[in-house]
Amino acid sequence: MPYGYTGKILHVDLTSGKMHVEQPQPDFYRRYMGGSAMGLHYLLRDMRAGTDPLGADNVLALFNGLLTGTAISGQSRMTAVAKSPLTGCIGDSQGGGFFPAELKFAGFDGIVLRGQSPRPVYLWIKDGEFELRDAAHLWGRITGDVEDALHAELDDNRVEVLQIGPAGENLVRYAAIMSMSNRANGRTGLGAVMGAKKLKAIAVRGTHKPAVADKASLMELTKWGAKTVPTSDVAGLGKYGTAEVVAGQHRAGGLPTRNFSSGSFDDWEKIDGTTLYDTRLKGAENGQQDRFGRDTCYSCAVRCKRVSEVAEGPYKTEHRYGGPEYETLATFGSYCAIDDLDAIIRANALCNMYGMDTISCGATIAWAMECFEKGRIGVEDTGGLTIRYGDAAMMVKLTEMIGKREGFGALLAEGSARAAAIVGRGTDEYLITSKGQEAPAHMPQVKRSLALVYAANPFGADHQSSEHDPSYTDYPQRMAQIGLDKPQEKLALNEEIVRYAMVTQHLYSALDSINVCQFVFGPAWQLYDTEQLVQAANAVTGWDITVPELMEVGERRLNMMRAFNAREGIGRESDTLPKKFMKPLAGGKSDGYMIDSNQFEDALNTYYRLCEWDAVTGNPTPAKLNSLGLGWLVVDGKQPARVKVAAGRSAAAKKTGAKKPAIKQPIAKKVAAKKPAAKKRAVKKPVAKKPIAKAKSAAKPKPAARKRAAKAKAVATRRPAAKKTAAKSKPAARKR
Amino acid sequence: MRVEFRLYGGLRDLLPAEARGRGELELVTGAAVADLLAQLGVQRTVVVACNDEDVPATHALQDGDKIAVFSAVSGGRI
Repeated sequence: MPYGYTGKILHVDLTSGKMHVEQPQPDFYRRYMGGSAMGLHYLLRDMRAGTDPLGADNVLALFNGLLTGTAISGQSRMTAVAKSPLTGCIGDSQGGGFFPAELKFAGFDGIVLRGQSPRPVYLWIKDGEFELRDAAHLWGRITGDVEDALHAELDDNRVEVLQIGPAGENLVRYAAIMSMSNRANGRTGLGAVMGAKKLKAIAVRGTHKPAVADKASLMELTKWGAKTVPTSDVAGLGKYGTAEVVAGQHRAGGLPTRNFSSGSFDDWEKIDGTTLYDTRLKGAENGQQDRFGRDTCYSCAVRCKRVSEVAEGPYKTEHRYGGPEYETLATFGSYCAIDDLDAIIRANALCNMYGMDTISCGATIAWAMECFEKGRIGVEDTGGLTIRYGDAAMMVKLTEMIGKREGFGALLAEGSARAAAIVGRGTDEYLITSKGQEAPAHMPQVKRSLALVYAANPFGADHQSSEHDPSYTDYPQRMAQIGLDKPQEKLALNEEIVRYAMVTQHLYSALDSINVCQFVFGPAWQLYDTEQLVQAANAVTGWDITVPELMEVGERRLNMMRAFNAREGIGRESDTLPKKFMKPLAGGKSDGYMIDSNQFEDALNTYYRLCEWDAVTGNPTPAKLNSLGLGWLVVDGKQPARVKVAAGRSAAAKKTGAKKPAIKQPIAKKVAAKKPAAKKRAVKKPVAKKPIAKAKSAAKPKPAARKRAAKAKAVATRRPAAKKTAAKSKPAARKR
Repeated sequence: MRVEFRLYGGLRDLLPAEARGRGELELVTGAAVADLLAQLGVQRTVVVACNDEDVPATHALQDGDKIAVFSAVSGGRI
């Protein structure tokens, strides 16, 4: 087992309740390093094409990473991968907090979940032991209540809880997997996959810190980072959160407004990060925001997470549900032409209570608003609701209706692309989706490399899959570390920008494999640069990896994702942009900006060529897969087979009444999905004392591991300094 | 000569809190953007606009100019 890892992966069959521990060989770790690359190995190996995302055969893999649980900033990350119920493609999402580190302390690098439990359960893991427990008493309850209930039931407030909220139970197609009641593996709807499996939560507690090969080197990097944060380019992101960027985005004409009709929001200052800090962070009333209003992930010195509260009024919100990121301020704010910060904080909290992706949720509401404004949706569709831009109360109301799948909310719970297919009437004209996933708040019209990445990314439109255009100019020395030394003019979408998109995509893909925070490690403005990431990885593992090997890990993950999609029959024809991006924006600095379809197609051709993929299908070629050690994905010398997907409905979907995927074959008839039957049974039951299934770790710790474990136990109460600070700033409910 | 300026986002912390990122500065004739940034203590990678036009650090300032400074990570470039 390499240093840094636990060497163990927990496999859980929720249908049978059987569990076992796998101990992979060292080369497995070096090939994938962690995160979604590691999870994809199991999806590609064990899943058949055409698997129902909400069926028992979908594999949900959760993996932390190489640095997770060490003291360096930005390492407590966990990736979830499964087939997405939102897109039908590979689903992928990262999240932070304390759960990822705690999972490693509890003895596991990852968890692979298969099957479908006949009744709600939760998985309890403590220091290498694990069991499935009844969760009937937790089903139907919001995240904060579940966290409190599990802390009480397990009699330990240091237990970390990963869970779904009611939205995941209700199979909202952009349901998130939550931890701390305010951190989300938000994108691609993997909370619905967990809901379909009837897995309400995973509770973990561990005391075994990972072994590090070169403690002195890692400590040097750790201290450098902590010391550098205040003068670094992430200082503002730390203090004001990602919300700091609202002003700059508006000024650049890149703040999506009125469902991407404009890049300029006149009332931006009302939703800016400095306004949030000054008025709504916990402690703002007496200038104590830095103490009470900022939260962190395990041992991170950046502390970018928001703790906001609304003390009174219609949007009263308690602070345990965190605070809005930039994306959330935009999707519930400027996308919907809403400048009411309290309403946005409330919508954010509702998403965290019910467990939903704030990007897809806000963007889907914005789509509905534009459809209503343009007369494509009427009160006869909405159950009498008038849904107009700028109506904050309606936005909040719809958010809750979506989480509950109530009324018109049931349609919006399908995501905007499916909703447009169901409604028809040209409502697809107002979509801002790629592969069925709603676009985040960075505009391809303004940052052209994102046009390519949004379209070609295997899991749909995503802003954290590559570095954005301005960094090429702004950070030349760091870019040179990954071979990028020819910055281009703004709005260029030429071969060099395509290369920039691909190379930085490979690096970001590596970040999601090693599994580190992209605000702390990255190729440009981040705290640590690429070479420092390699140093940290080598210090932890004792390996001798280089920047090129790191990039190859990222390229491997990206190719695995494309191979997964290829098996599903998803290739080039799905690498598209919404029609709306081909129409000119109105107002502000980006007035008239649009994506030229011919230029975009040229860029896509160039991208496939540079990726060494088949230009016709968009799929990885056998030669490319072989070169990345993925020859096992090549069947009979051909690239991954394009399989015609069966159109069967899952048992879960049948229960909800939700329509089968309708992106490719629009459904003419409007159908509102109902809640699953289990939801109706959601009544509080006595806490189950007996485990449904129980197993112990397959292998006893080796002597050296036991020694480390004993040492870890001895220092179990000592966490890194950043954690201590965080503990002070934690909401009282966490009792840390 | 005198210029008006506004520091956006986290850059506002270079000034006293009550200033909220806004201020005026007296500079010698012929001073450039780089001189303004040095006087304000800006060390991060930034985007600077003079009278709403993006300018490089070498841009010579004029009396009455209005300067906006954004951290590069937040965007701001037009």
